Amino acid sequence: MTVSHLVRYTVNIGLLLITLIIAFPFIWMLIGSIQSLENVRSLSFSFDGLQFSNFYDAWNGAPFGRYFFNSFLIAVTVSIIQLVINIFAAYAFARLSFKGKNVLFIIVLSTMMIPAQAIFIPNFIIISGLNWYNTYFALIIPFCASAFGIFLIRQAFLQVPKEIEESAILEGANHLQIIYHMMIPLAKPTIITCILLCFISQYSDLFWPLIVTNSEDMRTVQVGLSSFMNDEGGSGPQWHILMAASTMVIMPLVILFIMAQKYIMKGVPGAK
Amino acid sequence: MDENYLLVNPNRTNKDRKIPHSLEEKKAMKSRVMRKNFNKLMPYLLVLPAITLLFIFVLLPLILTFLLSFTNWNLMTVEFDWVGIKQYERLFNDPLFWKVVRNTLVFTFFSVLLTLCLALFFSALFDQKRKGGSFYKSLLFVPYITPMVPMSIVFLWLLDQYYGLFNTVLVDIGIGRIPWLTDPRWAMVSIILISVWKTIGYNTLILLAGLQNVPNTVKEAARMDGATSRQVFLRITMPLLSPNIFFVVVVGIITSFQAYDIIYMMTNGGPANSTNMVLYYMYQHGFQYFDTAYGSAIAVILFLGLITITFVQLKWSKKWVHYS
Repeated sequence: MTVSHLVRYTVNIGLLLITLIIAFPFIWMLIGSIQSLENVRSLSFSFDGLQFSNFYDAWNGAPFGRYFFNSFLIAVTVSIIQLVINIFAAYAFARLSFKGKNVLFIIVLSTMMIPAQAIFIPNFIIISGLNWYNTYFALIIPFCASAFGIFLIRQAFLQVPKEIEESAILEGANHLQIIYHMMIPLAKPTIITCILLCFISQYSDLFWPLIVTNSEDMRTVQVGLSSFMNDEGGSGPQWHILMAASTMVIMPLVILFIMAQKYIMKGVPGAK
Repeated sequence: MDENYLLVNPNRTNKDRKIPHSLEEKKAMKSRVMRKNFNKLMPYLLVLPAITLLFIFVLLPLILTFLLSFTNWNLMTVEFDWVGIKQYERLFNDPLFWKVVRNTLVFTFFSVLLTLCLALFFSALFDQKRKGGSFYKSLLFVPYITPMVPMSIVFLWLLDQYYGLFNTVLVDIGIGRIPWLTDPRWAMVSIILISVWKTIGYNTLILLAGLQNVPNTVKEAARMDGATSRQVFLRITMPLLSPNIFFVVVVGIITSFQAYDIIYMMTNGGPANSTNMVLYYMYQHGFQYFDTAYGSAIAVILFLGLITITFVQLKWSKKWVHYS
């Protein structure tokens, strides 16, 4: 009895330590975001001088409204267009038979192995050639198809029993109707997972928006925040303002995660 | 629809086909033929957008990367020459490139090893607690989906020479300041620790899923037969966990090879290129020095490295990974 108690205490203390290590940077960020500069410099935090105006200062320190608008516009548009394109392709690969299907599917799968960043130089040249440099097109169009998404949705479509579809064909439904009324509702969890993962990766991306934009009004939050960090020179970094800005940038994803963690974790292999 | 017709009348032959007489019948016939052609075309229309985009923005760039690496093109001029393997010769004679490769390997080795060891330990702890762990599990997942830019800023503050928490504590307990980001060795240590922080929770979850797939009955049966707990761990748990360990290692290597955000934010590759890594080096040449051809040659090397790992993984996973 006592030994098992001891084990349980050790386990619980271990778990507490892990969670503290994982959560600590977040807690530290939140604390810093509501302290005054002197408190932040001396690391003597107090509850008396809570300073929520840091958020106001951060918001006005750089055009964060514009950055957020850009990021949301890009992430939402990419998620929607990518979903439609992926679903169409996934349906064809899962359900229809046509000449060259296997070759095309292997081509799609092979693109999964190519790391996006390794081909950024020619991608940049293609974007410049299309005259898309510093436009929303450059930030949206290249990501409107995803081999990983097609693969995931195809797997989900394969699980749908063929009989349901055949009866729908007998009733005279066409492919688009089958996709819309049967496949999408039946593969809903996977589709939600795909949208969320796409949104998260678009919202978090730094490298691509950094190289295809140059004007302030085209910056995404990640690029905007990193340049905000670099601009905060002068009398040393204003950590309290930077913490408030970082909190703002992280917040949408944290809220999304709290609301839809079941779906997000399902999309990552191994994490149930 | 022709499928419809086929299903309703499976014994249909060519003789059953009516020869159109009236104008309406001709029209109906024509629309049926058109619809049939359209149905044949349909699969291609459905895959066309995806294939087109993947071709223009993935396959074509891949081919272009290889082609560019055999030229001397920079973004500034219109003309260029084919120079054969000159860029690769430059690369192999570039001491900084070798330093960058070494940095990448050191970073990859230590961050993957440290993550694996800690994740094994953490997942074993979590495995003891079968009930009520879902809150912990969610929390473990959060760093994995948090963007690197804001988190880097938090770490820049934590590691700040004078105002950072770490050095303040170290001074208080009498150890003194550590040049976390300004000393070449410590900068690498800092980068490794941050990347471990970012991936540890996710990897713990993957190993935990593996541990919880090991049936208790098997372990108990082994114990009944007189196996010690060490034997149970080495002979039963580890083999059954090996696919998950393999996954953690392979994904860890692939992501570490492509470290970029963390370097851009924390060190810019410095001090003295001590944290410069392959992808960041490619960025510098491709987008800062506008040495497009040289950057492409670096990209090709990176790509070949990653493809080798992927193929090793595909070959090995057949032996190791068994999805139940």
